[in-house]
Order: sequence, then structure tokens, then C-alpha cells
Amino acid sequence: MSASGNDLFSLCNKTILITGGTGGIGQAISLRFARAGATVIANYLRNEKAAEHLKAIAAEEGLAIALCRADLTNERGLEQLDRSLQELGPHLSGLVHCAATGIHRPIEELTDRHFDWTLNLNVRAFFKLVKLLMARFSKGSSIVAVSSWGAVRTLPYYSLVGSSKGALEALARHLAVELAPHGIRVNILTAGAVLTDAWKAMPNSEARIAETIRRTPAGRLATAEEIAYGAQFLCSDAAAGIIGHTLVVDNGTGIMS
Amino acid sequence: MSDTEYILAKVGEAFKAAFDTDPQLVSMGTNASNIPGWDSMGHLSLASNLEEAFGINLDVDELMEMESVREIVRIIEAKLPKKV
Repeated sequence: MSASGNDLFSLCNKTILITGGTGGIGQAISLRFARAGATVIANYLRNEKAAEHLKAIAAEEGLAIALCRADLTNERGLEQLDRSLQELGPHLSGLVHCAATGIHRPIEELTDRHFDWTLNLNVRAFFKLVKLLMARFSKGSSIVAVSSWGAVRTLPYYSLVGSSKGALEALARHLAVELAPHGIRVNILTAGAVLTDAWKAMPNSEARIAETIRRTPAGRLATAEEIAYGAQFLCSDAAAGIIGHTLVVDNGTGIMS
Repeated sequence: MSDTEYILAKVGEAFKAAFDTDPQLVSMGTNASNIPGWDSMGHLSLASNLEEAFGINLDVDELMEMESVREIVRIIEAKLPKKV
């Protein structure tokens, strides 16, 4: 670890995989990490436009961001990802699991398939990735599971995503204990509400955003960049003593009664 | 109206429900690059709306194949009963 306090937050010489790394919060994390010196592998599946946009920014700024299109919910996609990572070298310094999906409906409209689809990406993919990549993580690596308040509090129509985040957090905590002896830190980053395209899939989004702002001490939602600062901290040497922690970046919404 | 046009029209309505998209803007060439919010989160919302609209079940492989409206229409056409 560098003796200089200025270097402790740097991500230089780190190679980090960001799932869901081309849109919304994931894109902000990919850019923040690359600007902090990391080599970033930004995984995505669906939105080519967002991926191309990220690629263009990286080219303009000379950032080390590689795109990897792969479906993390099946073996073929995981093999594709594995091959892409191998091209960048044998070692990884971190994983930020930002990819997420879900159906926002009341229980009477939810089906078994909705449950499976949601948990396959939000939880199972994280489990599969850690198993797949464990041998590649060098000592001092950092794994971050991006979660939300829905893991521990109720939000409208959020039962599937919320329960998946709860499961993700529990898995992350248990992995934090198991992987610490291997020099791999695992932590959780709880992102408050951020204005991204993800709101388009949620019912009553305008009213919910307004209510969230009303309940936020800072009077505004956290930005994707602010979430990314938290992720950078957790993946940096400055967080060397932080294991199994839940870092909340929400402009104070969560402390309101 | 042909079967394909009928399916395309209902797919447009499903896009409106999922993404608040103008159904008139949904064509065979429409894909995730054209529709804000059509990411992994939005995709499940769209898939759920399509299942309800057409009374079908989409399996995981079909979900993954639905990368454009053309593919969506193809998958739905294959799942609907054929007219005798």
C-alpha cells in the first residue's frame, strides 16, 4: 500500500469488472473507476447505444474501458465473459455487481417466472461470478454488491427486487467472512434513488421521485456519480480495513423516520 | 390487417405500457438502442406485458432472443395458434 494519502483512493494498476457497467449507475462507476486509473471491463447485455456512448467517452478521454456483452444468467454468457477477461490478463482486482432486473407489480400479478428472472440476474449471477472469478482475484481485491433500500425496507411493487437485494446482501456478508482470509474484501453499496432510465420501468415514478426528494435531508436525490465515489472508495486501498460493511449513499433519505 | 400487423400493433401497446413509448414509433427495426429504459430492468417489464397481451408464456431462451421488435414478433407468431 502506498504511504502517500493522495494515492490511497487511486485505482491505478487495478483491473475491475463492472456488471451492468454501461448504463445508469453502472456507467458512472465504470467512468469513475477508469478516471481513477483502473482498467475497467464494463459488462452489458441489452443497450448497445449506452455501450457505444461509454466507448466514445472512453476513446475521447483515453480511458481503459473494455466492453463485454454477455448474459450473466446462463453458462454461455459466463463463458463469454471468462474469455473476455482472460484476454486482459490472469488477474482481477475487483468486481462490482451493478447489473439488476425485476418486475414491479403487486403479488397477485407476479409469477414464478418473474421470480426466477429477477433472482437469476440479481443474486444467482453474483454467486456464479464470484465462483468463476475467485481464483483470479489477487490479494487486496474488492468485491462490491450494489444494493438498494428495498433490501431492508418496503417500497411499492418492489417485493421481487427488494427480496433479491436482501438475498444479495446476505450472500455478500457471508462471502465477506469466507473470502477475507484470502485477502478479498466483500462489501455492499446501498444506492439511494438516482435519476436513471431504470425509473421508466417503475409504476408511479414521478410521484415516487417527488416523495423521495421531499424525504431527503439534502433536498435532492443522490447522483450516479456520488454512488460511484462510494464504489471507488470501497475498491480502493483506503478501504483496506472495511469488510462486510454496508455503505449507504443516499443523501440522507434512509435516516428519516 | 394481417396477422403480423395485428401483432405489431399489440407489441406497440406493450411498449407503451412498459416504457411510455408512442406505439406509432414501434416498428420491426426497433431495438434497445431506440427505446430509453429498455435495459435489463425494462426488458422484464416488457416481457411481462407481452405475455399478458398475447396470453403466452415466454421461456428464458425466448427472453434472451427478444433483442428487437422483429424478433419479438417472430417469437410471438410462433407461439400463437395457427389459423386453419
